[in-house]
Amino acid sequence: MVKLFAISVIRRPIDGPPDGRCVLLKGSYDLASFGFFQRASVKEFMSFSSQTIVERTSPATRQSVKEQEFFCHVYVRVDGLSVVLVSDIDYPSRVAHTLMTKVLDDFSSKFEWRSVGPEALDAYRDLDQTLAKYQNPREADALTRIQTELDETKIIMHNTIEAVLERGEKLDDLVAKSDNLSAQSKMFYKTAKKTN
Amino acid sequence: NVAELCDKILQNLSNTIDKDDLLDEFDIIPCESKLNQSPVIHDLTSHKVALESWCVPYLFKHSYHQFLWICRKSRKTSSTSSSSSTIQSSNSGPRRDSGNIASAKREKELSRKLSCLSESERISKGLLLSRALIIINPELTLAWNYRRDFFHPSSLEALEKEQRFVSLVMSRKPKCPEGFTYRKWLIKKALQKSLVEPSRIQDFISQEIDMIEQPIRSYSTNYHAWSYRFWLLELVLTYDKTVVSKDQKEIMLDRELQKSNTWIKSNVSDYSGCHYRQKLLDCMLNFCSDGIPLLLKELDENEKRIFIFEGHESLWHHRRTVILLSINH
Amino acid sequence: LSTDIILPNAPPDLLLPKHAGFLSKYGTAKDDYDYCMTEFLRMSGMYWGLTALQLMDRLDSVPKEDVVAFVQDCFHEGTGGFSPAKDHDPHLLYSLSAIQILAMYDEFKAVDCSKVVEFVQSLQQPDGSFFGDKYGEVDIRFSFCAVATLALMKKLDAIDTRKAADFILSCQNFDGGFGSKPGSESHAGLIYCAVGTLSILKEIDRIDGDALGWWLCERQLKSGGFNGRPEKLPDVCYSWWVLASLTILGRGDWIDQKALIKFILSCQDVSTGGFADRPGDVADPFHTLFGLGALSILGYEDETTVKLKKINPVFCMSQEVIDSLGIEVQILPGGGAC
Ligand SMILES: CC(C)=CCC/C(C)=C/CC/C(C)=C/CC/C(C)=C/COP(=O)(O)OP(=O)(O)O
Repeated sequence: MVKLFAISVIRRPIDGPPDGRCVLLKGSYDLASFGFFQRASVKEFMSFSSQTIVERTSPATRQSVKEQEFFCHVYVRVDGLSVVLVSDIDYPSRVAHTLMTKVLDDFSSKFEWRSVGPEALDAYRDLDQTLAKYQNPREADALTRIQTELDETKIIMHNTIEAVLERGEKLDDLVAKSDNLSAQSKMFYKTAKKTN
Repeated sequence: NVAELCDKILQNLSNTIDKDDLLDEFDIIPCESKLNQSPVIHDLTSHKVALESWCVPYLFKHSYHQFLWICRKSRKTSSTSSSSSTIQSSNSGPRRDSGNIASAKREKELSRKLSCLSESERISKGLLLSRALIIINPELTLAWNYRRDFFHPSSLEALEKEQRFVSLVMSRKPKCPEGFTYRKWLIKKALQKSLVEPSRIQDFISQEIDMIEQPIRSYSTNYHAWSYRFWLLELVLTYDKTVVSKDQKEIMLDRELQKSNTWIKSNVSDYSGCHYRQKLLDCMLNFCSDGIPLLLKELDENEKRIFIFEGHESLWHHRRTVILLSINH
Repeated sequence: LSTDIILPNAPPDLLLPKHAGFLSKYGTAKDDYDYCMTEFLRMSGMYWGLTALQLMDRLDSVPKEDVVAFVQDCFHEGTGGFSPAKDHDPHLLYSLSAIQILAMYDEFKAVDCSKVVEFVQSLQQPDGSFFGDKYGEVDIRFSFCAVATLALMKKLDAIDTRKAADFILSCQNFDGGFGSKPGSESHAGLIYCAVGTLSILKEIDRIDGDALGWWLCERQLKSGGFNGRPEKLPDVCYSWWVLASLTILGRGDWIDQKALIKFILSCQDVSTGGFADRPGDVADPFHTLFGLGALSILGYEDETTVKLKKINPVFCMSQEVIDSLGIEVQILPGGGAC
């Protein structure tokens, strides 16, 4: 399937303390293809993974991380404004990254992103529209042809999320420790692993 | 009391399935027991049903043993030795172990509990149990076979209800081969027993194709689903032409060609979908005299996809076969 | 980044004692939920585990009388077929497994084999195909089961073998591969069934070894493992389905054997024993047999001089057993490597 599941705009502190947390400014999701009873957990996981990856990506970097049947594309701008796009593995990463640049350009032109809080963005619907429109990568491909400045070789590709984590860090531990994941979601994570 | 609790859950689950005709999703939610709350979760507005995971092992084991007991009583195809005699002989034989003693004890309890049922009560109990077993473990052939033996649809509505049940099972296990075999069996049954009016055969099959789009969407490259889809298509295409007209056949082919085009567009790594399309193109070439424009268009579309989606083996394999097709025709 | 996995660094050595322990303990807790859940395929499970043990020369770690008695319990006098477990229904899939087990123990006398022959015979259709059981599903797997079952009992003349082979060929696709029935997609597991059946029927020269060999080689991924069809993940069981097919086609040397060995070894579970479909997943007897089976074809040996017995690529049983029954299969002469 060629599918986009989530886009999140995240603020990553650049010069604060190194353990300064990221702030999820706005997220948009299309989870219709997931099981009804799993959607809430899937959503928590997507936003958890998005923030985890942004925290571990240095400024001015693009990465695409494959984790099972998902692709997490991340772009952290020099100034710390970041975007993560979760797609399935068929969605072309070149297209994904072009789209992400566009999302950040739009966002920073509309908001004073360094100070804005998630509450102020309740009415912001552009991400939902973007998510819907670019489900079809041909739409986005037209966009790529105009914006040719994206240098594909600058996208760092990883085959598993563990490759992005710091040495010694394990996804299982991060999941267990996280306060952003509900008990239900942690259970889902465990069973999904067991029945793999 | 575990047995009582299981019977209650079983009844609850069964009622839910019977009452809500629009149910279209079943799941098992991983969680621990919450006291005083039924583990059957029914979302009335969106028509979804789930079981909490903690109860599943109990429910399955409980239903399984009762079900085997009923199968032994109600079916001719059971093994050589009748149940009770084997239990006794194996207890006195060399293979005595604690497992056999436990199963002899269980056997006694089951007899005490179930012997009082009349033949027809036993059969309906078996049908009820088979549904619970299938929904938890759709690979259990025996439970499907039981339904083949004892579920006798007297009308199209009854049959369609059964089709919906299979769809519900597949919402959790979209690639389960047993489910597809059973669906096929149901279709054959409907046609054999003339539950479908001859003029509606094409519609009936198209409706079934629409039903299996769910498993096709929820598990990509779903081998059995696509294989079954082709079986359905061929069924219509090869149907006696006095019953299904050439026009109806062509409508069916066109519809499938269009649908598969949409599918392939957004599922570039799904070779099963490509294979199905190759078969469609092949059928089309046999149906109409000049299929070459169709093949050229296919190659053109394929080329575009190869450029947008890099590195997809399926797209190249598809190209190879379409070229072979054009050479052959 | 294709559909594949990355192997963990260095694969462990082949851990035979662990695997033997894993298999002889497997499924002993009869009252378990897992035991009930998997009972629908118990007979095949037995065959996988026992054959794997035999390859490691540990068949004696399981009491033979219990196994034979189990097989007897699953025999249906009325139909002549075997069911996967007591009180389940007879089917060709489990009849083959049962006969394989009896062949391993040289115990055909434990059941009335003439009935088994009748069972298989009764399921052949006018087009040469086979129903799996009385409910009438057709599948190329059932053709393999039917033909292999009869071949083990030396009773191939009970069916129309020419038609059986014709049906196999009707399942062939444009790409040279075979699917589950006419019109279905090519799949490595089903190619094994096709190639195996034709080999037993001595009609293997009816297929084009180069075209099919090529398709099969394309199943090998960068990780060294095989998938069963395009753009799917590798799985240890395809090491067997693909390599055994290539061996029957006389083209076992067309693949990167070293890479495959590394992949298979990485799928071992070093703590529990057994092989899983992919590194890190839960091990089971099915993947354990096919992992070991492929290693046996590859003639794997290591410094600790563990050596597996030779396996027959068609029957997936120890070659000794096939020899003692005096059965010969047909292997295509090798094609030039390309
Ligand atoms: C005696 C021996 C060794 C075998 C008996 C003969 C049998 C039963 C062979 C089975 C061959 C086999 C593996 C068939 C596969 C059938 C199939 C179409 C599987 C598709 O299922 P998925 O779960 O989608 O698997 P993949 O994704 O790996 O294709």
